[in-house]
Amino acid sequence: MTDDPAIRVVDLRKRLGTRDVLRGVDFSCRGGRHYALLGPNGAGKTTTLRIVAGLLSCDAGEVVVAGESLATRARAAHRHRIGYVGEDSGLDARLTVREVLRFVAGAYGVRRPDPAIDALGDELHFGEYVERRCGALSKGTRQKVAIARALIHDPAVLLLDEPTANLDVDASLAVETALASDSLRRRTVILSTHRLDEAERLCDSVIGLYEGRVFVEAVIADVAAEASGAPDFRRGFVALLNSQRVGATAL
Amino acid sequence: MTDPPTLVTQIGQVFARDAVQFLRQRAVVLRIALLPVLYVAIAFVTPSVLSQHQGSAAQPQLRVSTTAAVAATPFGQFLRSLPGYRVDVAASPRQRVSRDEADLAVVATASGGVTLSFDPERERSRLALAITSASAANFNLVQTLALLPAEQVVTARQALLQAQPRSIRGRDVRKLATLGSLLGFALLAFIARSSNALAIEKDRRTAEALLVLPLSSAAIVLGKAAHQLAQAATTSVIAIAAAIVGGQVAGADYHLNHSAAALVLTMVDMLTVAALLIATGALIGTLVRGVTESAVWTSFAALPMVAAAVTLPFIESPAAWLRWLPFFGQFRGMQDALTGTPSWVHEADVGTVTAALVVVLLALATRWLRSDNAVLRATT
Repeated sequence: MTDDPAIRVVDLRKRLGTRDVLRGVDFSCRGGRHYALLGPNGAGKTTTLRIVAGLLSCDAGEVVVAGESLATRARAAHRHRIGYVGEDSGLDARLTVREVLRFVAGAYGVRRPDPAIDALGDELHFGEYVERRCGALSKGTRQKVAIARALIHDPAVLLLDEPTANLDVDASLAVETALASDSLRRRTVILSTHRLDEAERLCDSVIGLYEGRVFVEAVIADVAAEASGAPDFRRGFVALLNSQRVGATAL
Repeated sequence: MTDPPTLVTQIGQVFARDAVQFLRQRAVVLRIALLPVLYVAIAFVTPSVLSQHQGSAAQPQLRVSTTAAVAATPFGQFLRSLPGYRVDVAASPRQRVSRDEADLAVVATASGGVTLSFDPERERSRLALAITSASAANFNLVQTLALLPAEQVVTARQALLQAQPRSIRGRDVRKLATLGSLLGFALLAFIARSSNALAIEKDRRTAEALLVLPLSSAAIVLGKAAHQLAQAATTSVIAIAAAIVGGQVAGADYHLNHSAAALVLTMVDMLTVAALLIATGALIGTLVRGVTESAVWTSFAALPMVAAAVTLPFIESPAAWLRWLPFFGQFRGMQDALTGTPSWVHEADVGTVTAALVVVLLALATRWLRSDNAVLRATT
């Protein structure tokens, strides 16, 4: 863990169509810590993650990863530092797990991917399925493979966009177990989620987004205090979010 | 330990990924392999087979009325020698030839009802076409018999090369339009498959995972295009083999030039056309949200190509620049190659123009693949 921010997002702005999705997002993430990106639908969570991942460009602002700005660094080089897992596992149904992971490893230039694949299979508990086609896997296992795909090149930063959305309880728990594994604990993780309980279990800090702006950036344990007297993190976060909604209505 | 792959390696990676997925769909692979065989059967073999069953005689019906003077020429004697052909030495009531030119005139009345009158020396092409339409009842230029220039009977293929029939009327128009439409629909398949190669990634929700990789946009576009081109090459080989074997099986002797040069040129023509279609499909694939939208845009993109396939053969005296035009140029190139005069120069001309267009289309696809609009369409 270091004091230098692993990710720094400065005044990020993005307009999609006629809507200002991001209106000046600022936050920073320290190395080796886990951050929950929370907010209602349309708050700008996915857009923020996609910009940080280098999938989308921003209209204004800056994204700095490990001291280097995305604006000055080649996108391909930027992607080497980041692992990204979307809401959908995005696995090729006709390929086996090993073939998918080999392809991704090849794209990152990993020289000998098989030991890494086997190690990730053991750690994330999908080792027995590596020779099976992805189309035959359960949703939970697919999502675990998607996480392994994002880790195959050993990135410093992992971005997870609602990895447990649309999963049943068992699958969600399986993914949560994967997220709590040692491989992830040592990386900087931003986890976009709607689930406050998940954020509380898996993350150290929270970044709250509402209508394209950050309204809270705090350690999980401090959120209740910031909400002036809320009994716990969840109620504290909801209180802070509601104060934003009241403010927006008043405006 | 990582070692960033080169562009060529990246292209190979995307190619292999797509190829493995494609080959695992055995039923689809089998159908795609069967498709050119069916197309060849419909376009070339079936009309010949059907024409042989028209009328009471097994042979094509051709009734040629001419004058005694013409009947005495080598050409007249040649017509008489053909099995199933009747040559009436009596003048036809529809004959429209002056007596001064009678010894040079022939009226061919095709069994299909097409009647043409012409001066055989000056209008050799129309005679060739009339006999073709009557004998094969399909638009089979290769099977043309032409009037002899003077004293000798030449083979059908040589006659065609001299005649170069371009004047098409009556039933032949419809037949050619049908063939052109068929060709257009066959072309559609290449665009559709190429655009779907990217569009299906969006439907399957694998596009985002692909785009977030450090693969260059060019590698993704070119890798997918290369896979489609490999499929097109295989399809071309099957189509040519089917045309040759099918023609023999159906008893339709097209007098095709089966030399290695002709077949290679035909392959080159088919592949350059396929490359252009694949590049068009790649561009469509980057812009659409999924397979449904891809199908719609593919249909629109194919409209001018179908129009060209249907109309260009009717142009009597094509302008020189038309030889450079993709599709038309390749059509002519294939025709020339298979009928005995393969031209590498012509191939280089039209190939250069086509290659330039392919490069432009692929460059646009590469540029747009990771544009915000394209990414949003791929992920929402």
